[in-house]
Amino acid sequence: MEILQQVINGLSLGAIYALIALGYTMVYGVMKLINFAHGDVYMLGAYAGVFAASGLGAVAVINAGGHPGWWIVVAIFVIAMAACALAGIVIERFAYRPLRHQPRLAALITAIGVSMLLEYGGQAVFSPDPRSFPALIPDIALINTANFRLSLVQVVIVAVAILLMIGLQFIIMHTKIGSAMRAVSQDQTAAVLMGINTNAVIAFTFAIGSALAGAGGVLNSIYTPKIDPLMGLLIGIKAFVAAVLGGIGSVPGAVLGGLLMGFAETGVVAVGKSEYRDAIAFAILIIVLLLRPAGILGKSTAEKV
Amino acid sequence: MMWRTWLARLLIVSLCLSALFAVQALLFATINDYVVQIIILAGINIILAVSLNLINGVTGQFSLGHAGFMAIGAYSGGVFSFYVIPKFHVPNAVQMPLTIIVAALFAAFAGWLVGLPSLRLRGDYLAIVTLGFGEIVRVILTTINEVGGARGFNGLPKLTSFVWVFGMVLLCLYMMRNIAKSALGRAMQAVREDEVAAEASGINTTKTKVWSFVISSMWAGVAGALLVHYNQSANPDTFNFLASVMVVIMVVLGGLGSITGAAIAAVLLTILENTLRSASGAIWVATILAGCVSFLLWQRWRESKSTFANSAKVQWIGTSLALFIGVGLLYQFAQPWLAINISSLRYVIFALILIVTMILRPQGLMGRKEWGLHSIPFLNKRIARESAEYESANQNVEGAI
Repeated sequence: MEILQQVINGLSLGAIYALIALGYTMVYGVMKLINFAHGDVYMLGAYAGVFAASGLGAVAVINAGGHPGWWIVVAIFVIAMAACALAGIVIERFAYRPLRHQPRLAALITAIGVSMLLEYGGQAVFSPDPRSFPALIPDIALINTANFRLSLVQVVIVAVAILLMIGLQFIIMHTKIGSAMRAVSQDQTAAVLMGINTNAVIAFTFAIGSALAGAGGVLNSIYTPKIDPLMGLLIGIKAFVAAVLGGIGSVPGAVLGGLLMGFAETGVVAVGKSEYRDAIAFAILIIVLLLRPAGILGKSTAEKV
Repeated sequence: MMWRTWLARLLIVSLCLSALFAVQALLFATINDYVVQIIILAGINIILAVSLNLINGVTGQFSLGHAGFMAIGAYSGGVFSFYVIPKFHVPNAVQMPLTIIVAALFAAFAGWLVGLPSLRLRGDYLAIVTLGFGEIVRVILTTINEVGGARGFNGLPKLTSFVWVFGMVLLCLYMMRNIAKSALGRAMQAVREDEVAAEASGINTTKTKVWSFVISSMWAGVAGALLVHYNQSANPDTFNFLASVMVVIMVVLGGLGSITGAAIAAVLLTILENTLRSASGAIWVATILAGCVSFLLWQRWRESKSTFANSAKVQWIGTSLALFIGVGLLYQFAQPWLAINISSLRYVIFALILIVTMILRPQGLMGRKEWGLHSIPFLNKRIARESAEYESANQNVEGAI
């Protein structure tokens, strides 16, 4: 049962990593840019969730010991995702679009700047002190034996993540904008020649990826209810590692990588080396890049001169 | 002729040293400790920025782990001065040089270790790997109790002085200038411009990139050792991701590839960082920066021949204006329910500097230009004549062969 417990913990953590990793992989797919600020969009999602919860009166209800009702929880999710989508579009428009035709490193440096701006801007506006996130989903144990506990929160996290991933798969594979996204990621110039509005497609990709990060932010804040403006830095890097592990640019790869990262991290904690739980991500990254830089599901491409 | 050049060099070195000692005496006599501290920090930042410039600017790779190399130098130097020096009764005069050498060697070795595998990676991947390296170093340092763990490594001897810092700054600048003019430096620039073409022209790109990492991290280690022996303590948190990003900002602001640019930007940002500690300083800085940004935008406006309506610059100016007004309104009306935090604002300003530089002036302050003795018109003539003589001498040698 001990192992089953770790698998459940790893699965819920991995689902959150997977949601964030999807944003990295999609943006990398269409723009070949590591969006450093993605982890901070996740942070914005968590804060949007808090503000929405207090705005809709959910915080007061929860503090009084009640539950605001599931429609309110869904509304908070939607508001957080919409806020993040908007943030993603704004970041793309003003920070990345002016550099679209510059060397890739220029965009990367700008991305680092945007990330720093969101982190410390967040500190300046939301105050650097951590806040507690309202328990939108009551902490009920569905199964509770001596050494195994499956909570409602964990089930909801995995279920919501699966639902969002199915939705994403549908958008990418079965809609017009989805096939435009795939076209842009294959060849941007050719996509333009086929009459695709690349600016709109890239903005849409940012919106979708950021919305997923926002959902991840709310989910993780329900799971570990402490949020602060710098929370996105580390989890963003871990999710990026997940995307690289699965093969950056590949959507199923991001999910696979996210789950593997979740299992690796819970494994490190389970064997009692919790001080290395943050270092394991980088160790995995370095090993992957040395042995198989394209990732598990990625295709390696030869460089053409 | 040989002995004359050597005599000249000796003269220059002794002149520099005596100048440093004179300035130090003057500083201690006149200026308060706070200003002296800023000057020392500026010196350390110059070493960091100029050394990172070798990887990011000259060789065209992208390292985000400079603080990691700095940490390795700081801690290896700290272990040497804390454990080894008292045990072997090392004489006072050689304590600092030995500490610096130990720090430099360990950091250079780390640079070699990181440089080797990262050669298979380009651009953004290399950035992430070096970032990961820096974080791993930090995590490992917090778990070693012999160096204080997360509490920090305290009780180090105060070995760093003004003369040591700026002696190292001069040595570093001199070394970087000479590398830029050497075969190795040309090879690095070739790798930056086009790696495939460089390889095709017979440049060993692997060797070139590893050398760039080794030299750069060696100097980062020296800077780390100087810093912790000035503060008399080291803390793993000093060497976090933010510290690496700060060095990147210096290099980008100075102009990727310019030694003098990196040095100037390092000094500017050190001053900025300390001015921004107070609210009144922050207002001044914000005003000056807003002026710079509007100047750059205005310049862009004049360059662009496009019509008003569909000009992206108009959107830019509109947005910046809106941002200013928005932030002002927020500050006015939101203060009761939002706690505005002045000390985080300075990092907001640094982030804005980085973004605005990349978008409006990607070449930074200096581009790839350098300032040096040749920038002084009077000296320029003589230097030009001498280098012409040198080149013609070289051609004669080549002709003879």
